[in-house]
This record gives sequence, structure tokens and C-alpha cells, in this order.
Amino acid sequence: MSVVVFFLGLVMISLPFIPMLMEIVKKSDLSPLQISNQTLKDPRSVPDYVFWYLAHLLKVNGLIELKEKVSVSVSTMVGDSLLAIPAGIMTKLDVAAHTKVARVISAGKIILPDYSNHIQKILSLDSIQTGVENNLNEVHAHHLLTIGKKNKVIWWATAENVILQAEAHLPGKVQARKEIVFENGAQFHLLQGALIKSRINFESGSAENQELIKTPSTHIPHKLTISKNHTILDQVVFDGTLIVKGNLTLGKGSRVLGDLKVYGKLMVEEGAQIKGNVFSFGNIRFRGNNLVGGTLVTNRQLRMGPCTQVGFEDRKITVSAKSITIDGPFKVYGLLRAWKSGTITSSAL
Amino acid sequence: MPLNNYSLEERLVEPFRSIRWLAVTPLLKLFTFICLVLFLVFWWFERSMVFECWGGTLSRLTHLLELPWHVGIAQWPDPAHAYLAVPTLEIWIVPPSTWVWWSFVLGTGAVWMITGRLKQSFLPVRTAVRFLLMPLWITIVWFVVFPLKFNHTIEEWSRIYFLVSYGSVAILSIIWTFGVLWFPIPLFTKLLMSSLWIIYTLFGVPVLFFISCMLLNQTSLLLLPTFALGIVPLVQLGWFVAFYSIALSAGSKTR
Amino acid sequence: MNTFLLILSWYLYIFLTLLFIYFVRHFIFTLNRAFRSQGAMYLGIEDSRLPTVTIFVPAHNEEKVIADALNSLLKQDYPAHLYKIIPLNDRSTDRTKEIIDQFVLLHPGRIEAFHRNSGKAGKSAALKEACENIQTDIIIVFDADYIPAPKLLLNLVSPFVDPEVGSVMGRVVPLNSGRNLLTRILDLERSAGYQVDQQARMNMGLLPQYGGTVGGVRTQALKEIGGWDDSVLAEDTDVTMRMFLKGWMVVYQNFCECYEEVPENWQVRIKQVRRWARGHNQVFFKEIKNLLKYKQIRLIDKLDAILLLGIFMMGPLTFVGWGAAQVLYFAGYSKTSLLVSSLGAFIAFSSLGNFALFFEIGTAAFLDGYQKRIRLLPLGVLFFFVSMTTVARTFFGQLWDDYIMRKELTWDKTTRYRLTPMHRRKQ
Repeated sequence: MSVVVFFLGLVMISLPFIPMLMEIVKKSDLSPLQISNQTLKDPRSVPDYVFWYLAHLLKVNGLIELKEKVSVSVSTMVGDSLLAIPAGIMTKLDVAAHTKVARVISAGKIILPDYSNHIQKILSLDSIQTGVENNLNEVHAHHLLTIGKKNKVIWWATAENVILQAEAHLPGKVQARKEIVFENGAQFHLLQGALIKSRINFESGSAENQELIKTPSTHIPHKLTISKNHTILDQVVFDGTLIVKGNLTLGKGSRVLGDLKVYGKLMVEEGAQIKGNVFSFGNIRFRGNNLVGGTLVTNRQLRMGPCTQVGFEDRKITVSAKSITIDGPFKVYGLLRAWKSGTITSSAL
Repeated sequence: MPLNNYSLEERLVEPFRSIRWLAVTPLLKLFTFICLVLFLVFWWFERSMVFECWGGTLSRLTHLLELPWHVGIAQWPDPAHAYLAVPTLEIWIVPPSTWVWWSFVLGTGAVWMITGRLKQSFLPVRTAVRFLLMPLWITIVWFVVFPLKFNHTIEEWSRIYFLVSYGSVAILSIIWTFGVLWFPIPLFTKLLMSSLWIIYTLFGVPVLFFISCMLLNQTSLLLLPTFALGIVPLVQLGWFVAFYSIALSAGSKTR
Repeated sequence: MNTFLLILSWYLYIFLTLLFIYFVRHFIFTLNRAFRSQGAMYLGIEDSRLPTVTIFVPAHNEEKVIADALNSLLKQDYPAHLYKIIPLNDRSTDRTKEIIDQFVLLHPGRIEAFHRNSGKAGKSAALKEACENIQTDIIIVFDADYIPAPKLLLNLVSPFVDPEVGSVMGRVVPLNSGRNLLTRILDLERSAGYQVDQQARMNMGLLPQYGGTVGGVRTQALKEIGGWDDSVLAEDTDVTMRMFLKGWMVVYQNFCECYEEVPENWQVRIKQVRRWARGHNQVFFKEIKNLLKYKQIRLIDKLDAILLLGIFMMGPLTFVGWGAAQVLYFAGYSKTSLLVSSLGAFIAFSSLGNFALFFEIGTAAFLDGYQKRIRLLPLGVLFFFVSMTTVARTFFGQLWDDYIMRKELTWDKTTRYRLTPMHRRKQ
């Protein structure tokens, strides 16, 4: 009897291990973990050849033959239909208001009128202009993309040049091969272009300063670590890399010719310039008329005053922060990323 | 020109996915956290209830098997202080005789030798068995050097056993809350696995004690340190990890 | 006798405290990784001014794998004129040299062979010798069994725009994980080590570890700390520690994933653990004094660094601790010794199973989306025995070899399992 109970007890103890034993025998999970970064090129960027391939497709077998040769109006098309307008047949596509279209591909220019056009994917081999208050999931134009007032780009927009007219809401990604120009305030998440700027032009710093900051250093700058809060006085030039384990204030017109890393808050007074990269674990505030030559990264908030320039034409950089606020005219060469929220205030532009 | 293209969506999946993004409602978190705190309070202040429950299972088992054993109470830290009163089995076990002694030496040596014959792929088994034989070697050597009277009893064993079980449940319940209840696992799985683990805590713990007593009764108390340091913590942790892993595998989604 | 027992009891209390500290440490790491926001400071940084890079591929009898590694390194999404690959052939006796020379002929200017036939053996010695005349900004090291994805180099290099970053580490993912039970468990272990442990340390601003492969160092920082040390087995831990002591940061990039091979049989696994333990302990003895003296950091950083260095000490300490508990119990010294130690044993099983809390392994596997493989987790408790025994034996062996016999260090190579390109074609 006791032997039976003993073995019953053993069975009870081993019951929870049955799934494990089954897994050992069955071997259902053998493949290695799929790792990221596997592809050579990003699969989601739309290179030129895609546009030309599409144009070619449209020429050879137009997916929908349209009788009219001039402009076409599309109204209330709902569903997963593909509207393709072959090149040569038409040069311009006007979409009526309150239209819902799954995908639109056009060889010509696309003009979207005002108010609530829900378009899943819109692709033009020429250019696209949108009206007021449209919701766009994906927009790709080969040349110019003009996004009208209060538009929302939910996922992705690409073009050669992008003009954002007013109060655009960009929770997705906007990429331009050349320029992204803001004509007014906007909310953004990720902007990428050779140059991201406001419509108003400005020169950041004197020509002499620009030259000094632009020239690559020939020597390895010396590194200085300061373990408490620090202030660099006005008009002081610091030739080297500076690491501050506290807050730092850069005085008016002062210059740092190396990199800068700050553990606390960084306050950059008017006209101050930094040649290298800037890292901060705290908030960064640029008072205005500042110039940063390298990458600008913070874990927290970044606030850029008017006439601030980051990067150069020949040096594309990244501006990355948890939240970014830009007051007034600005120029960023490269990539502007706000992990949580990015705002370009409209008042100063 | 585009080099990296990490965007919002990618943050939600890989490589920055964390449980925070995988939506477990704050309300559920709060609720389970309060439950944990209440449980720990209960576990401490109502400890006599838990020990009674364990003792009850023990007495039912002895009655069922019609064994001449009695369920008693062992006080901790010593018989005079009733700080913690754990159940025990009143069995008198003969102290190890010379014969038992030598058979243990030979038996331990034999098992040690046999495990050496195991194939290379069974290396963990060999190491585990030999690891568990270490306390046995120490016991044997100790009593060779100091041939004192062997004065350890089942009562001591019950104190060690039940208090370790008691403490480990408290530790594991914290891990269970954060590791299972706070994870995005189907509710049914969560409830099933939680109740299974509770059942094992309430009934499995005395059953395991009963089995260990049967073994000690049949062999000798010389095995006590091996049980205390090796087998018992291992089995109890094993149950827990088994339920835990089943729950996790039910909730895990391929990335 | 009583003094001896008193010492033993103190030892036991200290050991159990240490054990509990490790338990809590891993618990906090896991909670942080699972529920707090993730440190993404260096994610997606693009800078058109890219640094020059030298990639070292240390190889000793790697004919099976070296060609794959070199091929994938040549295909990196990084300007070709900015990086150079240097396979370090350390006295290989198989076809490794031949394969490397073929690659050099095929890709002139991009691959530069470095053959060694004399000098001290081992990875650190080879790296030390090869680094003497390096002019590039960054040095990246890949072991010969690694197959880096095209974006990897770029992502590994990106944190170096931070002037304080001295070293960067990527994530290692086993490729042959489905081969047998051992590899499946090791996969879980690696997952915990990187997905949770390293990433949590990165989140919390503590010290992630440079792992000697899928990672790199800034040449300037390396020069500042005095280069690679060829007297240690774990040159990675050594560099991590010395960089830390000189104020350089080590960055872990969780999304820089790269495939590697894990041991497929137990002898190789034990050899590997032995090498890690030995190297780690060596660095512990070498740097612990400097670490304790080092003042310019937060106390928590220092504590974590000490715990990081001391992890392989826990094996022998566990052995001695359990022995001590038993002796105290038999001597009637303390009524509670075996009770407390049993709970300690319980914590030891759970927190040192695969050198991590099973909660940590479970969370990592959950995040990585291993579905049914998580069910193998209870086996980790069984693996505890092998790891502990190996680590303890290594420690005592090391004491004997290094401090009593004063033996010269030897380098154990990890066996590779992949089929050579030739064999693959035959199949």
C-alpha cells in the first residue's frame, strides 16, 4: 500500500513537468530567432526605379482604361480598388471631396481638394498637391509634394521636395530627397531630408564663424571633464571636447570646437556655437541664432530658438529627442526625430 | 540616402518592445498588486491556518494508509517557544547503526561510480546526481571524524521543511504577480496556472513531506541534509517554474 | 573549534546576503526591462561623417566558418573606402590561411591578412599585436563564426558620435539553436543575458559588458587604457573594466543582432564556461582593488560593477556555503543554519540556474517570442548543477594553477559545427 502511495506521490510531483517533457520530445520550436537589420536596403524606401517601373507598367497595360482624355473626377470610390491612370491618357487627376479610395496611382499630377479625403495609398509619377484637412496614409510623389493646411500624414510620405503649408499633423514619417520646407507650424515625428527648413531664410552666425566651425579639425581635441555645474562665459572659445556632469550654460557668442556632453540641462545662449556633436541626458534649450555642426541628441526635451541651424550641406546629421519644440526659422540638415512629440510653432514662422 | 528607418511602429514591435507596449491594463496591474499585498499579509498573520491545512493533509494521508504515525506540532525556534507551530509526523527513527553506516558509504560510492559510466549527453544527470551526493559525503565524513550520538529527528526535518516551503511561497508569489499576472497572457491561462500552483502549494507540499518521511523512515536520517539542501528546494522550485513556463509560452507571440 | 564554527557561521551569513543581493539585482533588471521605457538614446543616429573602421576577425583553425564571416563583412552597408577587414590568423594549422589569402587576392585593398606564427597564443595576444599600427578611429571585432547582417556595422558604429563612448556591444543570437536540447537551452540563456540583462543595465545607466565580439572600441580609448592585455583570458571583460575605470562608457545596442554558433555538446560547453569563469575571475583579482578605490562614480554603479565581476565567484562560494551549513548543523552550532541555508539553496537554484533568475530568462524568451521553447525553462534548474560545478572546479583549479603552480595560460578554442562551403555543396 505504502509503495503504491509513494509512487502516486512521485507521479503527482512530476505532473507539472509533462509539458516540458513533451517539448523535449516533440521539438516544435527549432528555428533560430529572426534577427533585425537583415536586409541590405530598406524595403520601405521608394527608390526612383520603382516609379519608372510603375510608369512603364502603366504605359504597357493600363489597369483601368479611362475614356476621357482630360481631367477626371473621382467621387465616392470606396473599397480596395486600384485606380490607375495611364500616362499619355491623362496628365492630371482631380479627386472630389469626401472621397475614400484605397489606392491611387497616377502618371500625372494629382490634386486633392479640401476636406476629409481618406486615401490609403497615393502615388504620383509627377507631383501631388493636397487641399485642406485630408487624411493620407501613404503619399509618394516623384517630384513635388505639397501638403495643404491641416492634413494628416498617418504613415509615410516621400518626394523629391516636400512643402508643408500649414498646421500639418505628421505622426508618420516624411522623407524628401532634397528639401522639406515648412511654411507654417506643424506636429511631426520623423522628418528626413537633405535639408529641413522653414520658408524664411537666414544666415546663422557670421561668415567667419561658419568657416571656422565648418573646417574639419586636424588635431584630436583634448577632453575636459567637469564634475559639477558649469558656465562658459560670453564670447569664450573652448578648443576641445567638454563633458559636464551637471548643468551647463554656454554664454552668448561662445564657441565649443569639439564635442559636448552634458549630464544635466544644457542652456545655449544666443549666438553660441558648437562644432561637434551634442549629447545631453537632460533638457536642451537653444536661445536662438545658434549653430551646431554635429549630431544633436537628448533623452528629454529639446527647444530650439529662432534662426538655429544644425548640420551643414556637406554634413548630414541627426537631431533626436524625446520631444522637440522649434520656435521660429530653422535649418536642419539630415534627420529630425522626436520620439514622443515634435512641434514647430506657427507664431514665429 | 536613408540609412536607418526606425519609426513608431518598429518601436512597438522590435527591438524596443517591452511589456509596457503590450497593453496590460493599469487597472489589472493595480488589482493584482493589491491582491499580492493582501496575500502576503494573510500569509504572515494567518500562518497557523496554513500550517493547520498542511497538517490536515498529513493526518488524512496517515489515516488513509493506516500507518501507525501521528501528526504532531513542532514549535519553532524550540519546543518552549510557540512562535511558529509547524506540523510534524511523530515517528521514531532508529539512529544509524554501523551496518547502515557502511551500506551508506558503499551505496554512495556505487552511485558515484555508476554515474561515471553515463554517456556524455547525460552529463547534466551525472553532475546533478553527484552534486546531490556531496551533502551525503559530508555527512559520512563528519560522522567518521566525530562519531557522536546521532541526535537529529524528524521533528527537526519538519521544521526545516515547512518553514522553507513557507518562505519560498512568499518569495515566489511576488515573482508570480509580476511575471505572470502582469504579463499579457490570456486570462484563462493565468487563472488556470495560478490555481494549479496554489493547489500544489496547499496539497503538494505536505505530500512531498510525507514522501520524504517515508524515505527517511525506510533508509536513515543521514539523508536529511541532502533533502534539505538539494531535493526539496529543487522540486518546489521545479513546480513553480513549470507552471510559470507553461503560462508564459501560452502568451508569447512570435516577433 | 568554536572559533572555526564562528567563522563558518559568519561566512554563511555573508554568502547568503550576497546571494540575496544577486537575486534582487536580477529581479530588478527584469522588472526594468519588462515594464520601464527602454533606453533608446543611440537608436537611429545617422551622421554623414562616418568614422574609419578596422574590423578584426580573430581566427584559429576556422576553415569551416571564416569564409562566411568575410563574405558578409564585405557586404556591409558602409562606404567601402572607410572600412578595412583584417582577419587575424593565429597559427592555424588547417586551411584558414589559404582561405584568407584567397579573399585578399579577390578583394585587394579591402581585406588585409595578418598571419601569426609566433608569440603568445590567444585572442588577446593576437589583437594586441595587430593593433599596434592601427590608424582608424574605431576597431570592431567579430569572431570568425559570426554572420553580420548588412546594417550591423553602421549601427554598431553610430554610438561613437557620443564623445564618452569608449566601447559598444551588440546582441548575440544563436544560429544553431535547434540542433539539440543543449543548444535550445543555451539559446534561452543567451536571450536572457542580452535581451534582459544587458538592456536593463543600459536602461539604468549601469555598466553593460563589452563581450569581445559584435562590438568594438574607440581606438583613442583603447590607447588611453593601455591597449589589450595579453595576460588575461577574457580580454573583453578586462577592457570593459579598464574603460569603466578611465571614465569611458560602454554602450549596448540591443537591435544590433548577429548570429553566432553555440556549443552543441557538453565538453565544448564546459570548456567555454571554464574559459569565461577563468577570464572573469582573473579580471576580478586584477581590477578589484582599483575598482574599490575608484571614486568618481555613483555608489550603485560601483556596486553593480563589482557584482558583475564577481558573478563567477558565486559557484565556489555556493559549494563552500552548503558545506558550511551542514557542518554547523551537525555541530549543533545553530538550530537555524540548515533552515536558512535551505532557503538559500532555493534562491541559489532560482537565481544562478543559468547565471540568471528564471524570471529573467522567462521574460527574455517572452519578449523574443519563443513560444513553446519557454516550456524548457525548468531544465535550467538542472543545468544549474553543471554550471556551478564547472565554475567551482575552475575557480579552485585556477587558484592551484595561477597562485600555487604559477602555470602559463592556455587558450581553449570553441569547436565549430558549421559545414564548410565545400561540404555544403556536396550535400
